[in-house]
Amino acid sequence: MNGSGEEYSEEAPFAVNSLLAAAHELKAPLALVRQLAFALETAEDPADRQRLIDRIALTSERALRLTTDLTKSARLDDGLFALEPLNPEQVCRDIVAELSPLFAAHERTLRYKHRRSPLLLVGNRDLLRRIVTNFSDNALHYAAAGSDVILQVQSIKSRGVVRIGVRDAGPALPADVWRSLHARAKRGPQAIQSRPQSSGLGLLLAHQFADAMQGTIGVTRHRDGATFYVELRASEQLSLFS
Amino acid sequence: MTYILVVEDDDWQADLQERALRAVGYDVQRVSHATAAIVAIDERVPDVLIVDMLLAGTTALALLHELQSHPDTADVPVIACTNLAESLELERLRKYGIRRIVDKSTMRPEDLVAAVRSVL
Repeated sequence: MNGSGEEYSEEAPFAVNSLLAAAHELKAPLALVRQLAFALETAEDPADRQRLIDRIALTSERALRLTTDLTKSARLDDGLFALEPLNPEQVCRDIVAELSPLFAAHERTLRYKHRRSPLLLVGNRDLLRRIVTNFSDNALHYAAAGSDVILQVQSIKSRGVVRIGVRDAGPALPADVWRSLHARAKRGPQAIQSRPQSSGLGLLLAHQFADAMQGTIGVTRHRDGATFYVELRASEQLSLFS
Repeated sequence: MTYILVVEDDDWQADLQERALRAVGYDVQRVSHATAAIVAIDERVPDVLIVDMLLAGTTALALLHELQSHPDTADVPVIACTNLAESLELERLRKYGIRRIVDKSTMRPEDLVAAVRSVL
């Protein structure tokens, strides 16, 4: 691959940019696993060795989640993802259970903010789980050490949607980076050379998954972090609970 | 003792770099973003700065540009430790104080130590 950045501009074919972005996103965890293996080679303390082994496993799982997302993205047109009424709270609790070891290993906490009245939305459990897991992985990267990442579900009755948000507390992003994040959610991954931080591939996949459920994704900026969210149509069965 | 500041937003990556550098006797502090780096540098100017090029929040180049604008930090040698090494050209980055580029995806722990020694 030519590293000069001249061949793959933002106008490059979507598939090429997606491939580059996927390669870039996988490179960081693979490089980390490799270096963890070197550290394991020289570590003598059993507790230290176990910590390194755990980090290798958790980093590998993170990379594997991206490969799963890419596979699902490629199969969205196959009609395999039927929509049904879902309880997003259960999806959130499942994600908290799955990712808690990863967050704990990074000295952060992932938790679900309980709400009294349950909500139902229309979506696909698998795709919704991929979106919220993706946002949670992203939040882990940005969240300050020792902070909580919070999954929350809310009803926006005026628009007939249910919003599932992932709130992190991290360093404030400059306004230009913020505008760029907004823009990325709706277009293909950019040429690697033009990115200030990441490829935006995760956001693009989340956008595709939300679109397949007739939903949308978005982001809200806070003074001390951000909330990435997905909005899906509220289920009419919601009335059964009210 | 040589003091090295590591600016790296991946905790585990930073931990590995700290291990490698402490193992040969360097004094190491690590921070996870550019704002924290500026605070740390205000307290103590490092002998070497190791910086990830893809930081969350303020970018590495903005941080380095800021350091270049102050006489007491303009000469701090910088090592870029990055997964984007193949996309970077050292000559174009020298104006930011970058003296070496280390590729995270191919480096071994001793490569980082060698890079530090080469800029001291």
